[in-house]
Amino acid sequence: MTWAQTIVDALKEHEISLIAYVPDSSIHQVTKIVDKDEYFHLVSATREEEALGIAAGAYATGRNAAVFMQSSGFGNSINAVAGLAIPSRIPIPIFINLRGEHGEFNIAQVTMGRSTRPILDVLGIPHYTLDSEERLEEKVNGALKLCYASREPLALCMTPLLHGGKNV
Amino acid sequence: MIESKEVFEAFQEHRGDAIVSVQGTSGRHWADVTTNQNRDISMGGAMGQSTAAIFGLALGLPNEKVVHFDTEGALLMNLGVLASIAGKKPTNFVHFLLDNECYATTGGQPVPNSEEIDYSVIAAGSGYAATYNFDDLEEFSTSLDEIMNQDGPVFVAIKVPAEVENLPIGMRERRTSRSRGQTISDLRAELDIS
Repeated sequence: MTWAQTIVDALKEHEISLIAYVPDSSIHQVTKIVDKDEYFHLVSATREEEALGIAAGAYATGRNAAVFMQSSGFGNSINAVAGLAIPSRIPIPIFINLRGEHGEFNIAQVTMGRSTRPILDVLGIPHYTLDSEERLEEKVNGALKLCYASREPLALCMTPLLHGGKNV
Repeated sequence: MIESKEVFEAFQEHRGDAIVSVQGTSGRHWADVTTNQNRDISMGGAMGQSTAAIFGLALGLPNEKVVHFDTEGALLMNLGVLASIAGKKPTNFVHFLLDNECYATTGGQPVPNSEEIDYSVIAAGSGYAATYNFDDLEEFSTSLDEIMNQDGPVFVAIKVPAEVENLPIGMRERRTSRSRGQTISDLRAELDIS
């Protein structure tokens, strides 16, 4: 099974049926599966903080929602996490494609990629790094379970060692 | 222009069972007008987030009418959300915009190009199913039945007077209000969502 399919299966396991995202070539490996599966409602956002807002609203209706974005987009959405998701106690799994790691070619991605996990730490958001397929199912399922138990956002940072990254 | 309170009083007559969200200084009048607080939801506070949050709410409740009273200052912070909303075509979503041309809560500083932006044109260009623009209370009141009974997403832009607050934040009178978390729990209880 591919890493992307493992993540999609875990989403279903936790009844996460709305996925809001801003596209990225690695995330596309997940969203292309989601898009073909009628279980999911895939919502394209123009900006990452908007994806978090959509997920928060969906959760208010009893529908679990996750968001997918790049680390650069996480930079765009910090106040959506700090000002909306955390104070409203809304559990949102945030899947972040961590740019600026092994094989990065784009200097514009390096600083935010490097800063993402420290910023998550300062915000008090639990985060786990997914950098191989080893025990992936256990890691993702465990993180999602924690996210809903704690009623707080939680981040899963996916690195090129997991998904192969982007070469050009 | 139409007074915000008059907008809400006219809307209340046509609310039915709609779920209602308000935003900004103008939106505070809704608390004096609403008769079904359990179907009011607050996603405000994080300025620029509430439009997307109520859009998400509309997607999650396709069988309920969902109404959002937005402000131009908040909408401008994430104008791209109009494209996202139009792209998903939520037929149950009615998006009002109370445009007071300024950031009233911080002292009335004008939003960029405040007097010349036609937000209904931006919504129409983004692909909303129907858009309106009102400057007159009577015309607005007589159109509400149509606004509330057609397939969305519908966008309704209304110019309202600015209610500028100049008192320092710590000296302002605070209304008692439910927390955002509480409005979410109350709505979920009202809709029988576990």
